[in-house]
Amino acid sequence: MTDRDIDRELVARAQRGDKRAFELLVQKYQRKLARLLSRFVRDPAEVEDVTQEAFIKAYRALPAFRGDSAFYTWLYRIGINTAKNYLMALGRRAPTSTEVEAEDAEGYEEAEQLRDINTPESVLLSNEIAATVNATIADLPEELRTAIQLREIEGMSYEDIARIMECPIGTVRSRIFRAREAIAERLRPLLDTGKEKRW
Amino acid sequence: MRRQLARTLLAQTFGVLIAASAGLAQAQSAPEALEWLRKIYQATHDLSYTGTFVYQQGNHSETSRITRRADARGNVEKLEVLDGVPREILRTDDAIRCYLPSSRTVKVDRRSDRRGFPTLLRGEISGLAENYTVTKGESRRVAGYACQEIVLTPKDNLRYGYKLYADASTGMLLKAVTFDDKGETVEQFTFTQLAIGNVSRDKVKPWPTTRNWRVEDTDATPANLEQAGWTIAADLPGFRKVAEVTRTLHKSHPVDQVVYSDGLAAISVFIEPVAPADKPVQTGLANVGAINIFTREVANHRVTVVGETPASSVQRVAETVNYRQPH
Amino acid sequence: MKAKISALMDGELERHELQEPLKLLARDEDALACWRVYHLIGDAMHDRCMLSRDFGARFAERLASEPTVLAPRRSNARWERAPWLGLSAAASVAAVALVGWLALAPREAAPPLAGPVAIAPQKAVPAPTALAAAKLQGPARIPLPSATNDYLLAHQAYSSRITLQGMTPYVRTVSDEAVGSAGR
Repeated sequence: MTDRDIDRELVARAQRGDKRAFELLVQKYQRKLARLLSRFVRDPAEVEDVTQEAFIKAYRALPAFRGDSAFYTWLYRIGINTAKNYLMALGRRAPTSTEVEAEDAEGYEEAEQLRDINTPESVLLSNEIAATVNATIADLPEELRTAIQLREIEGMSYEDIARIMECPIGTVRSRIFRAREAIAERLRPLLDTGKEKRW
Repeated sequence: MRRQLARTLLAQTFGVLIAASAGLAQAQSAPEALEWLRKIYQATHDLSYTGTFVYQQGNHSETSRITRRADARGNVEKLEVLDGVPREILRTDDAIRCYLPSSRTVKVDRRSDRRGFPTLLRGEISGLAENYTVTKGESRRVAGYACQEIVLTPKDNLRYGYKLYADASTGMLLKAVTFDDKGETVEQFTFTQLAIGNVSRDKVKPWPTTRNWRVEDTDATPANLEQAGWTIAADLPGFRKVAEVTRTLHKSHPVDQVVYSDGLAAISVFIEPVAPADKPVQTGLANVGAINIFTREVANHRVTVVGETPASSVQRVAETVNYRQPH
Repeated sequence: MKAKISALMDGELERHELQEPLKLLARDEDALACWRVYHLIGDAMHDRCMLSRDFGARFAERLASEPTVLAPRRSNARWERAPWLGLSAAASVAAVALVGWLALAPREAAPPLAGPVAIAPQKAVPAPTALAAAKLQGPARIPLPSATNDYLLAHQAYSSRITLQGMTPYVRTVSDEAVGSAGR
């Protein structure tokens, strides 16, 4: 859970007036939060609006955040409340309401049918981006692939990764960086051409 | 050592006082038995080991390999089920990860505080003695180890009883039997082979995941069900609330979970909304070994109570779940 | 510098190493792009949501027009005393209320489920108390819920068992199949 420490640092800076620090947090959690909120709201444009709203609310509430919990835990709750309020303002109910209106039922049913996908198809990560990332990872030398997977998928600290891969921490750091750069290199052309409208 | 001795003496004195004042033929927890419990708890927390154990329930048995590496910087425990479809669970101080290679899925349950992880017995031993009578049994050999039997007899029929067999020298738990109010075995697990001591890091490596693996994160966060209008009013003495969260269980909607425990057995209450498209909620009892599951519908929600307790306990809890629209 | 950003985002830089990359992220567009792409990689590996290209720019605009928040300077003494990498440990001690593998201590603040603790007269092997048995009718038996594996996984974090009864053949095929078939 060591990337929590960077959250703390960024929050502290944002609380002292550094807006860019908050933006860095937004860049880090935007898609994770959007995926969560897309359970409440299906339309991709709406998801974005509600996500932005949630981040703004979080920014305004920042002075009240004491760091007793993880930033994302706190953000998550704000996100859910924002989504619920949004639905209520539109006369729609959140899925966890006890009374499910007819019009909601349809929306909720759709969500239920997406058995293995967390979000509606339309907001999933662009196929090409995801495919490129996955293909590059598969092509990486094993030690780079393992390092980035342990870090990103397992969320392990460098120290834990070093223990498992039985190498020095500095090597872990270097492997993760090299993996990221290899993937980024393949992604940049995709992102730059402007063909991809959504990522 | 001195503190342990003092505690033992204190417990003994206290025990004698209680026995004297009660004046009834009540079974008291023997102080040495309580000390044994403490030793068992300590061992499962401190030791590194690798072993093979068999879990048996009725005619069904399942063999697993377990490897634990205790480290000052953090503990890792790996459980691999050896029968049938391969499954692996990796527990570290901050998360449980469940690997299902057949469907290329990893289920991740993160802990936001690094507290160390559950072992067979945790928390205040004296708390346990409120709900169970703890006594010493015989000595017996299990998997080549000379073991001491410790019996936990429940003081009511809301929970099961347990017979534990621990290695005399290290306190390592080698066998555990769960029994019901008739004294019959509900389930048991027992090591068939165990090596205590040095475990190298590569023995607790996680399952190598590759692309296409789905990561299902439970995103568990604290919740307040009372605020949302829910009350659970069951009268289950000895059980106290130990957790209340919202998490992602089935990918489409969050599920609330409240957990009660008596220090040994736990009961979870899951509450989730029902969509009209769902099949109607079937009310009733299901069972998996020592675990009983009671389901019913309340205010358009599915309430599922899961407990390592006799069926009556989970049913009792389930039937007192109520909803009132908050103002 | 990109290497520093990579380590920074993982929270793996020493305290004194933070200043440089953070300063760069504050003003350098390339550094910011690097932070963005590296996080996009993580999001892709987790199959997360995608957002429109201008999401970031739109948000930056909104944020710019927000009044700047300034939290009163609180004593961060607790945080600052703990070593950089050990901050999560210090915070966890305070975060008792959070979801976690709580040490089960029946004497803590949470009140008992209800009522006074009743202690039945003790026997060596307890017989079912007649009162409880009479109250409950025999419940209907139903098949195991299809989500049993998930319930058990969520439950077992709070239980004290080494064995995971959740992973038994009875439910395994149901849930694995369901996941497997939809997982393509």
